[in-house]
Amino acid sequence: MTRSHLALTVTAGAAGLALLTTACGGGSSTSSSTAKAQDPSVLTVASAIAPNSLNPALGGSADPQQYFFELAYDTLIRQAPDGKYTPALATKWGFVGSDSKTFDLTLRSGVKFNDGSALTADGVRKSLEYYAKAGGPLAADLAPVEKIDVVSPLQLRIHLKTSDPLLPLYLSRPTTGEIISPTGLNKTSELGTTTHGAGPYMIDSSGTVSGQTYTYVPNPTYYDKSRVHWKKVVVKVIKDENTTLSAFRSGEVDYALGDSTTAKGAKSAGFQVLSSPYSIMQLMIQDRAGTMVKALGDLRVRQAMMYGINRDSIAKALYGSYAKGWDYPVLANTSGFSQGSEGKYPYDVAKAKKLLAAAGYPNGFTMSITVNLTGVGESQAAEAFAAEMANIGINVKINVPANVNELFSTYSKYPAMMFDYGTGIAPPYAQGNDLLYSWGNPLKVSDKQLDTLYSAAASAPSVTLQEQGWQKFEQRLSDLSWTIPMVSLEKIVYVRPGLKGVDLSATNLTPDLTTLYAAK
Amino acid sequence: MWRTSGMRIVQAVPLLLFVSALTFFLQLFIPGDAARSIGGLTASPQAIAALRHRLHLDQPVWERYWAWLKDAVHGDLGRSISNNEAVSGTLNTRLGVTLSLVIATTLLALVVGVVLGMASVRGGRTTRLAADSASIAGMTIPAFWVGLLGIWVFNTRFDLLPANGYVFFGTSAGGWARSLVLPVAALAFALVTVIAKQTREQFADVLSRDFVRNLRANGVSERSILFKHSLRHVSVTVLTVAGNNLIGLLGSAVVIEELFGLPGLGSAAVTAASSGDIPVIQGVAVYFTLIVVGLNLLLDLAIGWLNPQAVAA
Repeated sequence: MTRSHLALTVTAGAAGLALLTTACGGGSSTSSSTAKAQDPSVLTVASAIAPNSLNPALGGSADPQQYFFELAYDTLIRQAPDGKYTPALATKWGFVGSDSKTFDLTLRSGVKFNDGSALTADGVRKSLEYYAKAGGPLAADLAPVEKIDVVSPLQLRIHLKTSDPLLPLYLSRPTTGEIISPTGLNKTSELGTTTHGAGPYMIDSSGTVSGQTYTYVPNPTYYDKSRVHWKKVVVKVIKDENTTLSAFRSGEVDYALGDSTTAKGAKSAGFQVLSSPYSIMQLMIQDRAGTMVKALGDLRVRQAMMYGINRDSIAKALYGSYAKGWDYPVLANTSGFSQGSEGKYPYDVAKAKKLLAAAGYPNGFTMSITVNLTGVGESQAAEAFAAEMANIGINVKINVPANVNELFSTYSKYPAMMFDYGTGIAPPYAQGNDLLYSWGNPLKVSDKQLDTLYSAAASAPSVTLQEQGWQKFEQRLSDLSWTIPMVSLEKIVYVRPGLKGVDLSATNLTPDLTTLYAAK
Repeated sequence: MWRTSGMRIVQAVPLLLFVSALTFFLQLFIPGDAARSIGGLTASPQAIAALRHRLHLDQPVWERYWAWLKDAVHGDLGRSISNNEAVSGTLNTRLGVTLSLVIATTLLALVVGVVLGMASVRGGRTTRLAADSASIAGMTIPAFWVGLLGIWVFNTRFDLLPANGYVFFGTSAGGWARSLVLPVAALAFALVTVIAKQTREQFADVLSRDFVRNLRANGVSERSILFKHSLRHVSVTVLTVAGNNLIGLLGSAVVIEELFGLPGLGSAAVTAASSGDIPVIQGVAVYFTLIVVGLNLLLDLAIGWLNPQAVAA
């Protein structure tokens, strides 16, 4: 090739590349292709998380982890989209007496697991006992269980050490309520990679590459054929949200959790974008007594932090239209919320500074916080929080753990943690337990009034009195400002046109994959 | 050459021991462990301690390493702490993915790099400038940036290639090839520029030598001089360069596997490291070492075949 020819080729190539790159410089996608309709026989779902193990006893319930378990393992009780409990592996259930300490269950007869073994009361007992001992993230749900009696081949009685009105809720949730077959319990080493459940589907090992793709096929022994809507369900692990959207566009994915950054793109590409308030991004203060950072032990300081946050502007800047400023520990229209309780802390820098001065910190102080990585967008929220605090003189240092493992091991060493906490799915009983008596209170700080209100609400004899009790509890929690709520976030899901049954709502924040079906 | 190759195989043993020991002990510095990872935020300290005991994580480090080593030399790499899958089974599936990625990248980089290098030998100042700039770009632009650019252009904007996932060769050869285009291109970018530069300089050097002048004087065609005579001389250096870059390539491959969601050894290592799954990390370290040794051996053989004179070295 002569010199001039080569130079020409190189220049042409460079020009071509430059043209290509400027072509992609144009902001948001203007090409809105109509999305392909849902394939009636195969459902493909994307999950940003790969399960470490297919063993339900080692699995969590946070969206989208539950996909991998709920497809193959039915729970004892099933929560319908409207929140009501309906029969699944159990047909009758209820507390005996008024103290929520004895719980009876009657099982459905004739149920077989996908490995051929039968559902019996003794098998359910062994499964629940295994779950409580296996040491998974939700094993604590069954910690109150003292003893399980097998009353007859299909009936059991669960005795609890302490009153636990939420037992039916746990038994209706992945993974706590999911029952493993007796065959599976004899071969627990297999549970990590094969399914031994009584769900509508079962894992197909030949189509599964652990960490990337999980293929489920119908379970031939399932007791309710009308609930088996697909010939195949594939769960793909796609960690990045933009890649997930691309996969939607190319027809590879039909359903997935979305996020505020790609929602517009999903809508313009023709997909249904559903959303519902789900969690509260909040700074959980662990050092409530001020042992690590003296200032945090003073209520005026915590109140100053509440007034010093411009919640609406943070909501808009970080999450667009899928969030709003929020200053109460529970979401609107959920258990524990009383009308008019929110909005008591409008943005007021002057007031915040005055409170700090009154508490003895006219020049502010320094504190470090860690960031919980199990939710979404916590690091950005932490940055926004630090910026707001700088305006009132508080210097916030942020530590972002490298991964979840580091988070779990180090979070208790920090005075506070930014956390996208799903109060939408944790009723006050569970939220209170988390914040006061479990991982949320590593320094074991207590408030007598709060403790009294908690146990009063938990043991109240009627649902109405319980609800009144929870409202009082949340009000006290809010007054103490042990947690600094910032914004309420919406859960967003993307759905392919023609895919039905998602029904995302305040009572159905974690749609069950098995209820999805294709429109005729 | 046989001596070098022989040495390589012999050196593999202490290398494996060293790498596996180093990897095992480095993991001590990762905060948390598998028990913490499984138990999560909600597990009580007692539950985690019980789990830790069950997983033998509370035993002294050297005892655990020795237990692993004893099994490993018999070919048993143990089971994953997370899902109890046999490590060798999991990694064997993933080995194919990583090998496809790394070998395709090396081959592509060699072919394209040599072609570009040869094409630019004849050029003047402009070509040299362009080639040098490309070389600097290759050394400084990280593979994942190229990968992201590739995804943006070929998937998001023009919907031509998949941005995620891997299709096994057995399922569909076409799908397999398509799923590798972007990851290989991203990985190969840096190596192409390095090889092109090396090729160009080597050729410039060889073509100015006496024996080439003799060949020209004897009327041998330019084409023959380039391909038949000079290329053999150049190939030694080029293949050696490829071999030297192999380790760096494996490192970049980890990032590319994560980016494109390829179920290879690299992504297994990332997941295992985050969850404290020691047997899997050890397994990946062993496999990576064997890959480096094996591929370097192959390159040695290729060098020997292409340029018998290099054998004497």
